[in-house]
Amino acid sequence: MTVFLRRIAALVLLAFAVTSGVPAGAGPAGGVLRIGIDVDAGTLDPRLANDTTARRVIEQVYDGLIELDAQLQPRPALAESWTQVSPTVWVFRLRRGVRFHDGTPFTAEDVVFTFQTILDPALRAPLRGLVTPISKVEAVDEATVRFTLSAPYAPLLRYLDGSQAGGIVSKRAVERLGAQFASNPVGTGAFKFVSWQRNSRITLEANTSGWRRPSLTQIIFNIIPDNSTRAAAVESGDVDLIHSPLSPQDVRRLRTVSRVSVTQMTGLGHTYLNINMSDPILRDVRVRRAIAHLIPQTTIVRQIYQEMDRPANSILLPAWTGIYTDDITQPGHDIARAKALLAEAGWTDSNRDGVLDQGGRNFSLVVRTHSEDPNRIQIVELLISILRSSGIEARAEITEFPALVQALIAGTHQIALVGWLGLVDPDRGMYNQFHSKGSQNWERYTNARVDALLDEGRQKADPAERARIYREVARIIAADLPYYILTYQGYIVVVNRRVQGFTPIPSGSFRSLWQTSTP
Amino acid sequence: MLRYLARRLLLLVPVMLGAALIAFALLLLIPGDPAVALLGQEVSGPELARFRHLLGLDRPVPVQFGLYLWRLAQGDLGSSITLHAPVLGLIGSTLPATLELAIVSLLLSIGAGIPLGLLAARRRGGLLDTGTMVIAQLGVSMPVFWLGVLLILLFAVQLDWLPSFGRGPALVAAVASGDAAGILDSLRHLILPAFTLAFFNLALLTRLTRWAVLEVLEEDYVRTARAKGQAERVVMYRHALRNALLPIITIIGLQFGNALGGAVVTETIYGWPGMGRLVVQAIGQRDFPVLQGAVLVLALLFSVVNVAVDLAYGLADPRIRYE
Repeated sequence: MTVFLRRIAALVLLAFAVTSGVPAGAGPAGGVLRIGIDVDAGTLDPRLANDTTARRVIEQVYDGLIELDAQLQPRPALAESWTQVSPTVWVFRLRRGVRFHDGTPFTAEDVVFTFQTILDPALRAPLRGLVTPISKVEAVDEATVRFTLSAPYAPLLRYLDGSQAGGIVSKRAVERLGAQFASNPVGTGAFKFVSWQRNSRITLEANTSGWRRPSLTQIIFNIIPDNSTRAAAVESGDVDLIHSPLSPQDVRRLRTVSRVSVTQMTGLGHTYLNINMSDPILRDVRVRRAIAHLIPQTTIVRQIYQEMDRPANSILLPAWTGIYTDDITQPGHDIARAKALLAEAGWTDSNRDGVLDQGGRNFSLVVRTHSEDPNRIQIVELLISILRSSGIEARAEITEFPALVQALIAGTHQIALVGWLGLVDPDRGMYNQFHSKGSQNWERYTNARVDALLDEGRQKADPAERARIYREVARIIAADLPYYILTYQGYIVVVNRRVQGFTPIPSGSFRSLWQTSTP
Repeated sequence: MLRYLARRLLLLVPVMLGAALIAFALLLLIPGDPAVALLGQEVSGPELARFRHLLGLDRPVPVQFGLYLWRLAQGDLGSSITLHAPVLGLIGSTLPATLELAIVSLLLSIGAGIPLGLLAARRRGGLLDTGTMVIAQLGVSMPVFWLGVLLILLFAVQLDWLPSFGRGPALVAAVASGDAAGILDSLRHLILPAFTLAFFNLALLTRLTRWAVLEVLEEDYVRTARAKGQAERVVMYRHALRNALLPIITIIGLQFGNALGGAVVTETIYGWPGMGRLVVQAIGQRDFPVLQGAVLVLALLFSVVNVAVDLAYGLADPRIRYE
């Protein structure tokens, strides 16, 4: 017994004594990149994926017909070139000689199969809505595909990017593997799938016979859910790359660590208040403006986000070059103006109980957000205290994300603090959100002018025209305030200095990994 | 004894049925459904209705439960809604990691907690007693997530002795194959999470052992033993500790259950690929089949541990008979 104990003790001591010669999750030395990522992927079938990790892995394993560069401009991927034959017909010429990871050739049939299955409601593809204007996909010959649309659809190209709805799957592999395909992906991408240990790591290796030659031999996505642990892992050198979401305190510390470099940029998302226009109190635009005037936007950005996010001007994202302008602004922080507006709207404290009322009814307001994001909870708590001190009977309601989304869909909310991510195109950020027929018009906003503009935006390819259209929508939204845009979400990437050739891009895409190396 | 065991094991059937029913009923009470979680924000009203239909969520509740039991009877725990994989496989791939962590942490807390408690009781009021009690107080009051982050910053970042996250090779497999490097790697990954998970239990066990032993030391038979001139060692182990064991065994049984179900925070901090995280994700995404499967497996483990604890009483106290 004592001998056994002594052995155990020796082993434990040995374990302590050995320095970290074998980093966690490392493969062979050389071109191995170890990424620390916040959540596990749900599925590795690009048609079904709906989480950020899945998309980042899928970008490596699959290619789209096109891919978006850092300026969000489409460039050739599996399609070498494309032409818009008429406003509703697009023809794509495919790259020849490309093979899937299982060795089978990539043909037009795979493209047709991919989009036909996405469009089939039975597959339950979450991003199906992005491609529903496609009425027909046909293989003209082995290397040519024709898309026929039900109406002109300007954002189509951007949505064909491999990280949006467009990763092309192997028809044969899908048919052969069935449900197993989701965890045994077969694509044409620069990296091949090796293994996936749930909640632990996803391993990829270089596809040396693909149309791109990656420098790395292996990529390991380590799943580390805790933000602080992820920061510690990159600090100690256990992983080479981490990115948002990160807590502001950790980012501040990492900036002082010589081993890593921190890059910060404005991402493709925003955090906003969804204001229910069908609510009897919030229906009045003066009340919505008053609430906007009460929001201490710069304080929130400084104190809660510690400048990781930027104060937003309007619904237009800075990343939309040519369309963004800082001329369009929402009502700024002005408490006196807010009080005047509320009084003008008939909300006064007539019975002197400290709460605004109208016709014998108190001004009561519920502000909701979801429990997964501590920053958003803090913001809601701050807003509640400000609203209360302005005579509004305000209350916070924090639930998990599915419960919040369900309330938004049902329209039972008053105000909700939520966000949008991955807005590669103004259409993606506005059409479904503000069109009276939009599928995510949870704020119940109807404005005939906005409807007409959003429909027009889908049909106009000319950049100047699109800028005019989306700026006008943004101006109307900033005045009507169905949304109050609080911040432009920041995107932060922390990379070990030994990593070379990695270019972070605002969409959060890891597209440049095939050009990355770790000498 | 065997008849007792058989009866206890038979009793597991209604217990499991009850657990299945409760798991099912609870899920009906939480707002938000898996169709929403699956579609995320890309959702629209009609799309949602179609999804709910495809998932069978639009059927009457008793029908859903009946179908669930029917599949369960055939050993089919169903498929995860969001992970597109069979529940049994998901549990099978994550449970070993949780068991490994729970067992090692339990061994740590028993191995350190009982001796520390004994020592403290023996030197009651002394420096050692005070020191142990301060540590024990720290253990029961320090939040797990804070302790975890602190340990990572110290041992992984500052000292660079241990990995900051993740699990090495499975310890059992490494030991079985005699792979020394594997055992070492496994232990290096295990130390921090196991200690973090053990610290609270260790503190609790120390305090409990000290209290239980002190109670027994007041008994007449201890005085008799001492009067007989027996060595203090014998008095402490044979007379005091053994008689103090019953409450300690009860707590150890409960602690194992807690370690299984309560490892979630530790698993999250250390990126440990266990079942706790699977369950938390399933709750967040309203992945009902995964949740139900996990609740059943946990209930089963809990019940088995309970039986084991009851049997252990008999070993500790021969007066206990099993009828």
